[in-house]
Amino acid sequence: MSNFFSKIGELFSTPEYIDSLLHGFLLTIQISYFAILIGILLGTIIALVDTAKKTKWTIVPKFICTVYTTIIRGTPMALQLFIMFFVIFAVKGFPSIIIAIVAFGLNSAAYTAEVIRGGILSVDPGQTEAGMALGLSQRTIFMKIVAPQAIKNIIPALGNEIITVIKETAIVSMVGMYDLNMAAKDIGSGQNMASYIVPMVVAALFYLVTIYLITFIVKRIEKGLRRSDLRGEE
Amino acid sequence: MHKVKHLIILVLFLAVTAVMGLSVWWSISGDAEADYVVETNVPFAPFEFYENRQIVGVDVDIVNRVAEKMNKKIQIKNVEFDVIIDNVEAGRIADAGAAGLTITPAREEKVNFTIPYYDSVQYVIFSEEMPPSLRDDHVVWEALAGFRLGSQIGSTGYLFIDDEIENGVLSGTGTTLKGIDSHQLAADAIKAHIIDFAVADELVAKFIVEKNPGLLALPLYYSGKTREEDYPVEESYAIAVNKERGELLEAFNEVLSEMMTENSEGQTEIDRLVLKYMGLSNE
Amino acid sequence: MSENGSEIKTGISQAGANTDLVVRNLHKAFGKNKVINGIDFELKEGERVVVLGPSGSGKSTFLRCINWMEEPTSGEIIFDGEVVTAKNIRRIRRNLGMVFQHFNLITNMTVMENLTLAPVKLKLMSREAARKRAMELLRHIGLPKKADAYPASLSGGQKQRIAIIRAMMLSPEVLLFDEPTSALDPESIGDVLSLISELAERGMTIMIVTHEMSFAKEIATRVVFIDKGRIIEEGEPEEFFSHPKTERVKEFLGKVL
Repeated sequence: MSNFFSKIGELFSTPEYIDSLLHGFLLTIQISYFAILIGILLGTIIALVDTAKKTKWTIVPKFICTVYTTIIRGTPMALQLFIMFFVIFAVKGFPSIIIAIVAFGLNSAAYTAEVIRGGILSVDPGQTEAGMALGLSQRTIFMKIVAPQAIKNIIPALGNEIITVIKETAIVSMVGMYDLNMAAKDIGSGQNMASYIVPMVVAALFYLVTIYLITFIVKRIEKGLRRSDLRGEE
Repeated sequence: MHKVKHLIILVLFLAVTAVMGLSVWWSISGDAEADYVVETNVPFAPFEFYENRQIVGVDVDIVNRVAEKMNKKIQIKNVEFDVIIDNVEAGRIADAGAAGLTITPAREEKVNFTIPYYDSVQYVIFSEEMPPSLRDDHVVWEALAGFRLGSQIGSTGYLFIDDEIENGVLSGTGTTLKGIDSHQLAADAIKAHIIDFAVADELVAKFIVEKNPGLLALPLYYSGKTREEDYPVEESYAIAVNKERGELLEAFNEVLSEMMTENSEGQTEIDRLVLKYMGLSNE
Repeated sequence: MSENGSEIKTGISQAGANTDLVVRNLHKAFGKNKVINGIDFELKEGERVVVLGPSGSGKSTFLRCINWMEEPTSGEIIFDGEVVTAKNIRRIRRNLGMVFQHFNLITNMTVMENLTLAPVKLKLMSREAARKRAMELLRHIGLPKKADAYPASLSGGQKQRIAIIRAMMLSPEVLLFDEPTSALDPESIGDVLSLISELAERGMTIMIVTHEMSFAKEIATRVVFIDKGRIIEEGEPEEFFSHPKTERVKEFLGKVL
């Protein structure tokens, strides 16, 4: 055990190791950030198509969305990443980070779409009817009534999805990208510390602190949004 | 008040997105457009490993020499070890693979190999608490029978073990083989009692035991009729080149034969680089 | 309309035609389930029609078809001489207010926002005018302190009274009430009913689905009885309650009175 702590000390007192971890961490954050952004944008579009009324105009987009979410949710992320890297984006010299962002973004979109769809469907239909009875447009009803209420249900689940994406990006080290996980492998490799255990534990701490921060922020947002649910006098 | 808050959040979001976008852009613009892509698998010191997140090592020097000779840009890309041969064969995202690849007949069907540039011996890594039975200063295959073995998936050690279990001296002995993510993790697996012994290339094994008190490594031998006739499990590294890249294969072979020419002290440039990257020379 | 502003404005002064509403051969089915099977109906300005019927008779669906909360399967709704279609329904709904069983106050908005949202969004009033009008109405129902409260902090009776004045914010010609007291505790039913009575006294044209028989008797100018998606009987309340013509209504009244 004392060996373990002295190795942790060694890691933190070696600037090159810290530098490697920070660079790996940056890549993890870069991929996660844009993947989540794509996920939310595309996921919102899919959710809107999915919850739209069935008409001759929406039937084909609805079908496409269903097929898309079924395929993405029905296959492992690692496989999707490999297909992106070695089949779809098999173009020499194409930047890995873009492929990774697209792969994780497309994956996250399918899950985010389900989260948003659930959020929209959980809004009491009476709320929409109230808007309709007042002569409001569909757009106003959605923007002023349904969306704000749906967001309250969406935020906690979306927080989970963000956390999942951040952790799942660790598999980009499988395609040779220098993320936090790869940084740990590098530091743990033969010519460095020659043991994975300590750098892996430290990398885990990086993930843990990041995810704790995100959980904290999501809780704060949730609390802010729940104001209107609190009973009692203003 | 509400409006101001929303505006602040929007500005913050746009600022963060812009900074992140720029950082991605900056990291991409670092990759110059390359004429050829050579795939490797890091870490495999001293042939390829990270130094300040740059891939360096003997293979990298060879590739750079080839680039210089051909006056072309060659990009070195880190990928999983077991996809390299397939990627080089397909030729769409990689033209060659330099990763301490051993020449095997199966691989030769898929890719062209350069002349061998380094001979390596397989080593057995073990815990000093539980050493295998030794024959002088080496371990023979028979000593591994019935134990749980591990090696990096797709590596030469892995293929050798697999072969012995399938149709060699280990067949029917209850010996198991665990494919592990990297040689390093195989060493950690010994410490965690997940496997009993790991098999890895000589240089890798030596690196690992040097930094891990309690672990030892000794060469792996085929047993001969007598102790004196035992012979080591050897392999030769070469660079894999896509079958349609004749010019690249030629350039690699030229560079390699130059680098393998012995100097007056009987040392080749490859030897010199190996020592350098192992930190054993004062360069 | 009045200087002190504490009265509830009705849409009477704006009404053009004599007949507000005509329903012709209305049918509504949900999939294979036929709920409304051919209803013809008229509602004239100043009338107060109470719709009665056993549960599942289609009376709520009938009411909801009138302002196209449910799109009719066939038949016509004609409002102020104009056939209601998917295109003009939004404009018509401004004159065809609705109060729901479950109040349907918008939960993410304060009481004030609930009241001012539609008139401001539909550009019928400026924000200031809408707020002023909302405050007047809140004062009128004795809830001015709730202006900035969220619906979750209100009692059912308070919510329903606010829902009623929310509908009144648009000064509709007709108000539709869909079982407005069914979800309330007995104590707050009285408050809501007296507010509806007040609207009635002021000449508001009203259609109401309710189970409150004594209230129906008191307020109605006409009673309509629906069963199995058809109007079985209709008439003046005195006549309807004391001398029902059909066996079905006799049986119904026997159970509920």
